[in-house]
Amino acid sequence: MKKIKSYIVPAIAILIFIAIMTTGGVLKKPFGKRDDVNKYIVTLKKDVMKEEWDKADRDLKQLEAAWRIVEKRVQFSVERDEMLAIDTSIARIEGAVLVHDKNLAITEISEAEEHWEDLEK
Amino acid sequence: MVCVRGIISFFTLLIFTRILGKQQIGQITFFDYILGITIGSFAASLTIDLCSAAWPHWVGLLTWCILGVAMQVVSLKSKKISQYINDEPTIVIHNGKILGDSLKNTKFTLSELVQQLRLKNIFDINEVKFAIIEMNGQLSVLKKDEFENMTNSMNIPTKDVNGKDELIFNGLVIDNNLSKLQLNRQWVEEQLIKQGYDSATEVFYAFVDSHKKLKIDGYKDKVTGSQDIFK
Repeated sequence: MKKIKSYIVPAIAILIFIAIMTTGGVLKKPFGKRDDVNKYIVTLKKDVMKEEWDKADRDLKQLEAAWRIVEKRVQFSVERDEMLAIDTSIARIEGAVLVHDKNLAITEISEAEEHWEDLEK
Repeated sequence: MVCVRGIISFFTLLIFTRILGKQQIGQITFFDYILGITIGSFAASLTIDLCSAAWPHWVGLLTWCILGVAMQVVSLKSKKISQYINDEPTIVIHNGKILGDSLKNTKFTLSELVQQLRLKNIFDINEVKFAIIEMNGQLSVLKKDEFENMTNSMNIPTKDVNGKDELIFNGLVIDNNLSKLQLNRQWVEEQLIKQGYDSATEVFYAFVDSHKKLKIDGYKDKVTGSQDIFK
């Protein structure tokens, strides 16, 4: 029994560590309605294309809230630089939506989309 | 984030070092030393290099540990490979004479050699019968009989002891040593049967001692009962 324990405990620990480090791809997928980052990016892009700035502002806030939820889940398995890049993109989209700059907003949303895809494929 | 990654690397390192074995710091070879440093470096990167994901660092750590264990297993299975990987002990002094080429190969300087001798209370190279630089860089010294111990000052005659001669390693009979000792396989087999072994494959290590007796260390220890001495 003692020998089994001495093998099982480290094996379980190793499996937990592997799970923490490799489940980023699973954890970034939505678990509910409030954390679907991809959906909010697509919606936001449509809003900006139609220049519906009030709706874009609301969707941007939802995107930010969704990202905050997902960020906590994936932080141990992804690169911090990618997470910071998404934070920066969201801040820039916020500025572009505020001044109703369609070109800049589309550029930044596309960049955020790219960072999101690169985040633990 | 750093805390979680620190916990992962700490316990991973703990588990992996347990798997790597129980060699003491003083017994490790130079390669083991470098292996330890590299693995430590991986663990440090895993903890604080947040710019990259933890997984590649962990895989690097795992790869080095697997290779380390593989080297150990191969070294245990084959004496030749073990010597190739870990090098072999080198005789640097013989009968009071320094073997310059051997010393040069080990990258030991004369002053380092003399210092090591002094640390062993030998201040005159002429006192040394054999000095060997071991695989871990330590110096082993066999003094000449006349300088060895009290028996000399008391004029007690001593026997010439040349140390052990390996005859079986890892189940294989070493024919070179057999012929050197003017023995044959039949003698070895007789000795094995006398000591309760059916063949050399059951033996991990066997050597002929100074009294020309075969000392055997089998794979299965012949202990009839067991008890946890730490309880």
